[in-house]
Amino acid sequence: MTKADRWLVFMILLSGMLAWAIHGYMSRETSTEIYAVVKVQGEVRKEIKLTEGEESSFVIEGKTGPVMIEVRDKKVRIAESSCPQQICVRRSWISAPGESIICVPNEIVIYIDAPAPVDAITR
Amino acid sequence: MMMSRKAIIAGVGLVFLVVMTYGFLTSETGHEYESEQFLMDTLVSIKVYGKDAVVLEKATAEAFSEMRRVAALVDRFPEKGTSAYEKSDICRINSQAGIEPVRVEEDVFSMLKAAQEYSRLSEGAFGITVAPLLDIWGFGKATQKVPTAEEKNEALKLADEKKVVLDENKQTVFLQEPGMRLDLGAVAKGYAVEKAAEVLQEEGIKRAMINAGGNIKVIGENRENSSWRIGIQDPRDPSGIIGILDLKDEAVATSGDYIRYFEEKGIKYHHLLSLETGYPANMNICVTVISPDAGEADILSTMLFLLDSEEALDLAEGIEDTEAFIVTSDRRILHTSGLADKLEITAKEGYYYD
Repeated sequence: MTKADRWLVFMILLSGMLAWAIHGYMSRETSTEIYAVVKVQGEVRKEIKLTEGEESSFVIEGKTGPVMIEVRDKKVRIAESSCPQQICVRRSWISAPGESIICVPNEIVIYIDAPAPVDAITR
Repeated sequence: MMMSRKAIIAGVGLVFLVVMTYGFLTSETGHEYESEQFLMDTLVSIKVYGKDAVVLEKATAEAFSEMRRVAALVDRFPEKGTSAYEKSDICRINSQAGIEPVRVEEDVFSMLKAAQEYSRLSEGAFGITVAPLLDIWGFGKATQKVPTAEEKNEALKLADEKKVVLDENKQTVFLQEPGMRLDLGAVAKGYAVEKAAEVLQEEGIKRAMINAGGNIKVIGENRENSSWRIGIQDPRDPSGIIGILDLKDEAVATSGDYIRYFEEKGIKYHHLLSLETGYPANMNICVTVISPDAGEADILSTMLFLLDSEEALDLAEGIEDTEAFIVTSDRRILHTSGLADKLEITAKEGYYYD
């Protein structure tokens, strides 16, 4: 191995390490704040920052009628819904990253917008 | 001091290599595109990764339109006289029960063929002639109720898979008894997911996930260049996960007693009805099936749910490339041997497993 060869090997190794470092830095999670996102018929209607001790509730118009959403202690739920089977109300509180409440008749999705431990959930 | 020429060349070379390597690391997953639509009575989300954002968007739109096409063919509830009714092969088959055979699309024919095969495997517990029974219980309608024994027996008389006559050459379907009706609720979602995955792959997509309310198909690897991690929801705690699957180019579906149900006099009745008893099957809490084919995963999850747990496990062991994860009604967790290297059980107290 000549001196130039050693240089080349060193450079390639160094560049690889640097690229990995930059890649890791660019794809790091930038925020620790947790938001609940409310979508109606594909459109984001509300983004709620989940904070300790904060309580609120509001009514949103779904496809079949009004839906009441409640926020309490970093959790969200659909408290009342105009849908027939009440699957969304029974889903109750969500708080963990990746969790969601779906009301099919009203075309409403509420999800916790933060990096989740899994890519998806089968149910 | 002046920098030597060698050092300058080395510096420039280093920057160049870093940029190239960084580009290589991000090239496959360069862009992410995600889209959601309400379809087939659930939320369908498609997530794709690739170099070309335009291709991603176009492929996703085509995958959705393929799913809408399949959904329209099997829709059982459009009103007579509407265009949705005319488009639905299932409505046409059902309306001609006891009258004459109906020519159907290839998709519908192959779904019916698969359903018949799995009905035979289940020895009659599973079947697509379940529609009159579902209707008597009110599943799919606004209100549900426990039927009387007489109502239930009438509906069961119309649930006879042997009277669904498929003619391969003419691609026709004939229900021999007037009043018989088909329901593809346990079949169509998975089939549509598989067709959507085919469309994505034809468009050159190498990484994607299609999730139709828990009926999931993954293509290739995830954004982190590893297997997709799919959580299995805890059937008794919707915030919990009882297992995590590592999947590549595979599909998964779950049937459980905890999503669609109603209560009467303090007793819960779910929608997975056995054609043997006419009642909700009660041997299992949930069954998750992993298969290369999303259609097979969907049908099998329902079919196995209707069987005795051990019997279901044996049956799944016997199907190549197919795995099952079962929570029995006494909260034991069973799974096929092939799952050992792609399943991590995360169940907390209240469940029993080896």
